[in-house]
Amino acid sequence: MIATKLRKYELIYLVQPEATDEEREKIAERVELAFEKFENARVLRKEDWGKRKLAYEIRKFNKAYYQYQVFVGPPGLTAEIERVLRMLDNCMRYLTIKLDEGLDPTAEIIDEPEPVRAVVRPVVVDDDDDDFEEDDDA
Amino acid sequence: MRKFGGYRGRRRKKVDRFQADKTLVIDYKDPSVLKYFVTERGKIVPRRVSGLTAKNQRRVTQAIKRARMVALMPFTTVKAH
Repeated sequence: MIATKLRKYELIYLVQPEATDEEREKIAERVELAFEKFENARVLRKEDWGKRKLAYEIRKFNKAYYQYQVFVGPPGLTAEIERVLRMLDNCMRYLTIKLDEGLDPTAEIIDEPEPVRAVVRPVVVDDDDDDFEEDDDA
Repeated sequence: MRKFGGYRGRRRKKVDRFQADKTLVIDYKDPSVLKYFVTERGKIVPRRVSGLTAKNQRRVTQAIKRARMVALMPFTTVKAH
């Protein structure tokens, strides 16, 4: 039997800014549970971008916690993850992007390092609501 | 300056920033690069203005739209008074 080819994805989801650490932890756990339902599904890398200013208001909030992760899994995994995130009220937005497909599950899948970016910045903002100016340096 | 007659409409050759600088990467997660390709109001700049190759313009457009989905970039910036 031929094992199902894997796909590589990245996921960003936004948690509402008033969520407690436990509530945010809970979301992460629920997402991880989805991985257990699928063979060969695993997270390659996780990043916590912290609380960031939103470009526009979502649910009357101006900030949100950004969570980012790169993972591999068989087809169907993302549907499950998105189903889980949709059910969680504290999750305001999610976005899954397919990075690669047709990966051999027996081969080692290496998470390539991020390409060099002009600016690498998980911007952490404090809790007051004044306007946040972005750096204009090229 | 536009000249009348003769070399009508000859302009400076526009360069694709991503061709010129290979370290620049089109990534929806990096609005600091993408912001050069939107107007102050948040609209995507057309190719005739941005000077990008067709391929890179498509990539930039896709990246901006993705960035908008997760509120990394604005759809529009109409200031409420």
